[in-house]
Amino acid sequence: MKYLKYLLYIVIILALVFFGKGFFTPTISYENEITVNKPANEA
Amino acid sequence: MSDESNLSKWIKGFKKSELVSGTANTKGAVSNVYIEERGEEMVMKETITAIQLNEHIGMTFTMDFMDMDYEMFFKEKEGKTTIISKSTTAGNGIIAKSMISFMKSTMKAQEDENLNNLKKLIEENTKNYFPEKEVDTSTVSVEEY
Repeated sequence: MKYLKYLLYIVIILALVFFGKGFFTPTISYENEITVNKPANEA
Repeated sequence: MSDESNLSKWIKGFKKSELVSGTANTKGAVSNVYIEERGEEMVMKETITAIQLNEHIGMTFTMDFMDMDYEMFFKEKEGKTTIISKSTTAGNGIIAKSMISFMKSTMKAQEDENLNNLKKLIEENTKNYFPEKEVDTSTVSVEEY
């Protein structure tokens, strides 16, 4: 029973982390860059 | 970049694109884009929000799981072109938002792979998209003065 209680705490903490991250960072942004050896009209 | 016949060569999983409304490759054009991910087909609605030939293209992608704002910038210098893509993704719903928040590095890596495929495709391309029009001179008569 004691172990079940700890397991429940772990599940609750994991759920809080999972939903908390989504709550505080609802969008993600990223930028990528490449350089091509051709002029823009051929890209 | 906008040659539809080449999209599957640089966008991972790209199957096909169907124009729903508007004129292709113009602002306001809406298309359904079909992507295959791990054997499953997904459909997303693509809307072109801005387009300036050889300079910039802006698009939004919407699907059940998430929405994405996507922009591509082209900057030419000394015969080379730097292509910059900017992506902003938001999950639809509390579970999707949480899942998306853990997927940033995976999605960035996927975009890196796509852009590297695009770079390879552009540099190996031999197709001329802007052929000079040939003038038929066989029927032209020259008057002598």
